Amino acid sequence: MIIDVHAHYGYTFFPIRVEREDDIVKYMNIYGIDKCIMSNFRGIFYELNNANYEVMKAIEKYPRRLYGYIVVNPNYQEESIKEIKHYAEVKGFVGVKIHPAWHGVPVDSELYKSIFESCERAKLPVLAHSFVSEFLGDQVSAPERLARIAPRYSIPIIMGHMGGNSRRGIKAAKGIENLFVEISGGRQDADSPTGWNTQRVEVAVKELGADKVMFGTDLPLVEPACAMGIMDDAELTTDEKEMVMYKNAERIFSFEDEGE
Amino acid sequence: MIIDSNVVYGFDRLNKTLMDPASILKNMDKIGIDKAIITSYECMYYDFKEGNQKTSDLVKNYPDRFIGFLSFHVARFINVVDEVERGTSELNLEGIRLFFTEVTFGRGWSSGLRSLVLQRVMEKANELKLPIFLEAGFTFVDIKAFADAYPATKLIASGVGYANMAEAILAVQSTPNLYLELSTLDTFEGIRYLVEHLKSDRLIFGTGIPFNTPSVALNSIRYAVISEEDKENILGKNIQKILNR
Repeated sequence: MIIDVHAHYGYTFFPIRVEREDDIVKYMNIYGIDKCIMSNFRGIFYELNNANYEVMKAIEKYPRRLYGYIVVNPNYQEESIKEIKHYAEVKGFVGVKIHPAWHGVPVDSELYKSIFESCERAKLPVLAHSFVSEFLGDQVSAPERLARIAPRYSIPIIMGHMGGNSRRGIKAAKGIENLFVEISGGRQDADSPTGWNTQRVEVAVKELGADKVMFGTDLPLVEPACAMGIMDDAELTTDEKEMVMYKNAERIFSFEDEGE
Repeated sequence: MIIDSNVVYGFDRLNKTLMDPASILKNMDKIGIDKAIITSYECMYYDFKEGNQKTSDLVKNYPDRFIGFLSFHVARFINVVDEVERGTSELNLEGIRLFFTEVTFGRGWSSGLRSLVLQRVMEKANELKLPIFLEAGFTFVDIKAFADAYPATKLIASGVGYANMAEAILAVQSTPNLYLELSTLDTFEGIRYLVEHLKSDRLIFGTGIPFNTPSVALNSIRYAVISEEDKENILGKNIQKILNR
């Protein structure tokens, strides 16, 4: 089984054709991805209005395949908390997505506090975009900032893209029980010198334990072949691979379809 | 008549900027702006086709207040040129706004005004003789080269200020299709200086609503030591000529 914990839905200004649920599921089938959890680009790049509603309609069409993150924007506190309260009760929404970079708010800012507290009350894990580098990326989502706040909460917090620089991401996540890392981000680390690109999964498993590493593709921004290829090449035991590819996700997300 | 050449509307994901159409109109009415050239902010960050459609609908609802300019994201090369055709022939939008951020998206990701994608769009714009509004952020060396490459378009460049006023004047003097929009000009006596060197017919009023307080731009012109005729040119007559209205 494969569960992709970092996927997207909707229109993007890049020349990418895969936008809506039919195409997403088509590519999931090609790559053998059983489930994916999506956040809507609309809420990340532009407006909250309708962003989570659109994902809800997509989920309805493909139950047990597509799941949703509730996208929030810390610049819109009341609206974000309302979105969490509302969609936490909607079947198929299994977490909350935050994007400090596109929303211009450091992840350890006071503006995220009430959002994290709402996620705690709703018992929803959080996927946090995190991507630092000299060339691309930002500092507001730095893994060290995430590591500073994660211990305040009991919910699982997933560091997206392993922090963009896996060396920093792995170091930041070490020893923090509820901070996980997710592998998506392309074929290289953003600042990769040799040795830290495809090996990032192996190093993460070795340093953090296989139970802290999660599979994600960032589709449709990144070709799923990247994440699949990284996992194919990673020298891990079968148990370790299974934990990364789906068992950790099953443990921390309530997919609600067990037993159906 | 006062026509504001520089207004965007939509949703601001970074701040609670009042940029819904009703707030924009309220802003315009407060200081006496009759019409505004308006573009959807959505074109920069999300779905430009949806954004341009919304602009078209907005203009239909307020034909005496808004003039629509289309926009797009150059990264979406697949249908960007088609959008210029659609925007002008189906949506009745009258020009193009080039956002600074969306053209130069990210360090190392884009070639700015030299973008090959943008060239294709500008060839179409040149063919259709469309006016182009260019947001601040480019040097006047680059702006002049851009305007020279597309002589049938009229390029309204925002961004003239303290540091680049001399260069802007030289660029406009040698480029017949280049105009200056004045929302970024804080220089004391700047407008008088520009009129002295360029004549008022190359200067265009704009505010930058909703990101700028509009009275700043309007008062700069109202209080400038220039003739009433120059003020009328800047505030509305020049842009009307550009738009053939």
